[in-house]
Amino acid sequence: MTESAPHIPPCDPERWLEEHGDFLYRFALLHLRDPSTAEDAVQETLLAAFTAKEKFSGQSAERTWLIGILKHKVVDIFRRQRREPAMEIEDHNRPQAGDSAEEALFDDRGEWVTPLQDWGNPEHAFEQKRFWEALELCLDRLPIQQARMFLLREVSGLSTEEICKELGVSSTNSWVMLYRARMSLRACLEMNWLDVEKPRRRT
Amino acid sequence: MLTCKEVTKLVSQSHERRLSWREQLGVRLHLMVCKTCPIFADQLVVLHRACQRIAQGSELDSSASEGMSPEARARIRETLQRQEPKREE
Repeated sequence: MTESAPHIPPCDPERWLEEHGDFLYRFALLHLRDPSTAEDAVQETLLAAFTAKEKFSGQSAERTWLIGILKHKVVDIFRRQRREPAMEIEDHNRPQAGDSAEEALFDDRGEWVTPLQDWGNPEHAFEQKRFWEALELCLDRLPIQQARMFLLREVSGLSTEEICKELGVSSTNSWVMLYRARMSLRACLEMNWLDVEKPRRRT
Repeated sequence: MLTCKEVTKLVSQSHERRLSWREQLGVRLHLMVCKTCPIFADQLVVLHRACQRIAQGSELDSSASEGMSPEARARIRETLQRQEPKREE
């Protein structure tokens, strides 16, 4: 029994820009932090998609296909920035010296100083606009290397081997950075998503 | 018995590598008696799933953060139009 072929929308870069432009831009901005670099990444992505030998085959969603191309562009840009330090953007979020950020969370027996809040059902959290706003804010506050490490791993889905190669770090280093990123993110999320009504505590 | 601090590191690493059987045992024992670390582990899963959603193309659309500026959009549209072969109206 054969079904008719899936309807493949015509290859139309202007429509892609219309339907996916903002998402691709925000995705790029999350990783690259600089608006004009992010714009370039979106342009490069749409151009690459348009001239791609392997045309979109309709097997996955169109946006998924475009995101795949954008992810490669982002990695390319990271690679370029590594080679040309002048291209690196300024990191306003200096990582805390040594372990000090995590030290504060644990007492001298290595136990949590303050209990954590239960975030409940993830699906319920994902329905809240404030959750996503807080997540974007918190990702933006991470020191650059931690942010790149975390995003390449969790959003772009690269393996640690690939990330270590792209960012030029050892795997032990990558684990430390991912740990710090996760510790910062969960604390920041709690404060900016759940604790919004409560008086702010200094981090 | 592993400390909470040690367990949080191992739980984080478990997202990237397979823990040794000794490490796994240590973590499991700790999670059975600690009230806080299981919550931590769950929070990492929420973070992970949230990132997967972004990776799949959603959640950033209705974001409060700015989209592309109209100027950037126009520039990109122009560049794309230059690539396309001339169309007949």
